[in-house]
Amino acid sequence: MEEILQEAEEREELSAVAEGPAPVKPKRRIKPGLIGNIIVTILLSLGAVIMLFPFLWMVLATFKPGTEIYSDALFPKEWQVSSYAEMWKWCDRNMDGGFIRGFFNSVLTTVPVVAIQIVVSAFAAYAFAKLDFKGKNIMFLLMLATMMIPFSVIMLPQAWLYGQMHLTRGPLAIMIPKFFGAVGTVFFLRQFFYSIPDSISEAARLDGAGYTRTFISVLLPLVMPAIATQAILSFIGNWNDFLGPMLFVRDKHWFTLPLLVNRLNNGGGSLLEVPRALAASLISLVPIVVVFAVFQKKIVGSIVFSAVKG
Amino acid sequence: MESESLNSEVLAAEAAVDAAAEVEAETPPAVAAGPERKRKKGGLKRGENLIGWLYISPMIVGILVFTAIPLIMSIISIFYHWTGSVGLFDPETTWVGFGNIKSIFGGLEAETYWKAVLHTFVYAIQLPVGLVIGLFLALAMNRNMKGVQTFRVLYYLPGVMSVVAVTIVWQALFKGDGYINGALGLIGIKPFGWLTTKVGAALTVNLLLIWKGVGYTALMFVAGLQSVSTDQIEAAKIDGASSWTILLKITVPALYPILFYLFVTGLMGALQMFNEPYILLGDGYGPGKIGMTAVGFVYDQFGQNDLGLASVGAWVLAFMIFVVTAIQMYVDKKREAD
Repeated sequence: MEEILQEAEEREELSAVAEGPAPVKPKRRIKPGLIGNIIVTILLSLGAVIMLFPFLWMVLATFKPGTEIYSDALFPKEWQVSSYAEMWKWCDRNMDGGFIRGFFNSVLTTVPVVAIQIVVSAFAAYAFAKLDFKGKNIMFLLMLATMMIPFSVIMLPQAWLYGQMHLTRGPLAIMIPKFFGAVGTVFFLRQFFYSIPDSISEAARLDGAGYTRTFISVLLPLVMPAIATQAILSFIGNWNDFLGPMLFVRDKHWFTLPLLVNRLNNGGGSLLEVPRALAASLISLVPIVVVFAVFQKKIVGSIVFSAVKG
Repeated sequence: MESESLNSEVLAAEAAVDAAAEVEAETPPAVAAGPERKRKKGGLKRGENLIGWLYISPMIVGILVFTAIPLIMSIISIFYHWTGSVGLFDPETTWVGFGNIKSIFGGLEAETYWKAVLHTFVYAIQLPVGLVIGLFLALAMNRNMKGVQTFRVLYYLPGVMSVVAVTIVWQALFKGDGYINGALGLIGIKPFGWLTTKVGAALTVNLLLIWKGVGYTALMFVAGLQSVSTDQIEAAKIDGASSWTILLKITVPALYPILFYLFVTGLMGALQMFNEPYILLGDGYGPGKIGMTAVGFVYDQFGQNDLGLASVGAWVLAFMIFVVTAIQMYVDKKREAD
């Protein structure tokens, strides 16, 4: 069987599909499939250049003077940081509180929000998965139904409602609603609580632990990986969110980075605006790049998980 | 809320479908197990009721206040001229009956709205294209060779980046005198109005969406490929089938569930497209208002102070999404039955 595989591999790249987990290969003079691998690696590398090129161009462009930004030269003739200085000054003039303020707003509307959202969602997920209470199925269906409602249907009434609640003057309109948990997270975590055998929680209960105690000290540690994944994905989603903040944050003092960057860019008209918008964009990407670099395995893993389930 | 939170949204949507099936499957046994459980746990039952409700109560309150109320307002506002500067039940908010609906279906706003819907579908062209590219990428990334893991991560990178940041980069790159036209000029191609013509804008948005989404598609397919039967492919090989035949006759059919899932979730996302065209083409929505999607139309009414009209536009869109969901549920159920 192995020989067939090797032979097949040599013949055509597509056959790699058949391989699945790597078989342990004995030493050979010429590695079969090597040529195919080299070709595929070259093709994938070319593709990767296309994928990464916009980022590369962006980084280099922020070090060009404005007049050079639309030239076909990739590297700046003369490296300089005036884009960053210009961006900083513009924010100080126009965004009362400056760029730092925008960064702070983004942190404020993501980190604590995600933390509270996850905890609240975890409690609900546990209840739906492990507790038996009246009306559970109806409440679950209610949650299910809310997932079907497109954001565009409720976004303008929400904006009005938040305005009435005096939330749109500050950042609270994009914070408080999320304190009540996220339906998607509840569904996701519920699957994990489901997979924990009842005997574990029952053992804890017999030892005299209450529901809350059982949940926090026995079940929660077991689903920690899933919770971490959800927290990371939720952080990325919140950090990048644009339409929600655009509708719900009306005071520029409380603009998050995507709003600030979009305002800076001003439709991308002039040579003045583009370099500083790129500089601000680049800084706004840094936290995501860091999170992605640190947790890439978890993030990629969550996709594989959803594919296998779906 | 938009495509940015792609992952969590997709996961959530997927979980919802699962859960829907589960609730159905689960309900009868739960009822059956009821008396038995009661006996086992005895007096704890009441405590469990209380704790259960306590734990889900924030969730339920959140849904009632922040989803149910806006939802009801959205339905009621269909029949009103509601500016949004006063309440829905303020005397200044006037009853228009079917006025808003007529306006969308053949009236004053019909042209703008249905053009916006058309634009939405124009930006969905990338969906099948992205699926095909993603499939080939997955086949390449599924090989047993050095560096595939790195490729998988690199291709996925644009998908997690801030939509505002990357769209601004694309805008600068595709400007009339930008880098792309400059580079094309080097090989003798005349500058093209990527952002100033309708075709160019449609092309640029589609390319941007493919670039952002293809890594995710590839990852999903890679995961799916792990489950393709190796025996079948070997048998086909022995029978002398070409790689192309194997791809079309064995691999793709085996990937069908994931393909379908990606298509459906992709379509739902595409129907709710807003960010990329809006940021790329700006407040004026670009040439021929090509940047205005169906959600863009709804958003635009916020500035036009016509929330009732927005509601009609949003509900027509919602109806299209419900149809897609219904088809998905039907197909899933049929597949399960087979």
